Amino acid sequence: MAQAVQKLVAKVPTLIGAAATYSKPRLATFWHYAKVELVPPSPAEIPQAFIGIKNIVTGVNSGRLGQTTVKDAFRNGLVCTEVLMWFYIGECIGKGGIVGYAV
Amino acid sequence: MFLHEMYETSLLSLALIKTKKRTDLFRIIDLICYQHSTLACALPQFYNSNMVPPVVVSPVIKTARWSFLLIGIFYGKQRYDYLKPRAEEERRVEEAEKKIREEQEKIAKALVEASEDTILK
Repeated sequence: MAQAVQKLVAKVPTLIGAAATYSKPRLATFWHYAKVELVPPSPAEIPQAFIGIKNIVTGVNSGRLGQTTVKDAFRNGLVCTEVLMWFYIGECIGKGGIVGYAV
Repeated sequence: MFLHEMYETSLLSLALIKTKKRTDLFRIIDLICYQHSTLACALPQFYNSNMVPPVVVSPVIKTARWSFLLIGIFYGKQRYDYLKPRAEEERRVEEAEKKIREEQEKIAKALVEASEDTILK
């Protein structure tokens, strides 16, 4: 038993090295995409966002949005779902747990 | 580096305009837009691989995502602060009631045992 534990402890540095080698390029690609895609909106883009929302509202009122194809509507629905799920991610961060409130 | 990319994409786009394939044209236009809008092509991993340049996300989606994230953090914190004292109160009340219940059960049990007529004691 003690020998097995010793062997495991001796393996830990190699495991950590292997994990680092494995994850570095993946982290690099993730960071590369995240720098462009996940970055928060710059102060110049926030008014653009409001204008965009207004365009959507006028599109709804004028009936233009009724002309979207099913494929586009499905894609937009997926994007909306993803945007809404960020609320729940924020809630998990705020309550300090994944499942339920730890009161 | 960047000029090389532009040269390649312009050649490709000329070739595709000749073929008059609409979908391919759109793809080339997207590619040109991506390559102009991001410096993705400058990274070495894009030369020899099939990696897609990162998408430029529209400002609506960006603000919506981050605002939902912040609202969610705020809401989670608020709800937690609302629920925590109530949960403690609930636990306290539950313990007091449990004590009372256990005492009553003990008394009832003692009574039952006393009133049993059995000689196996």
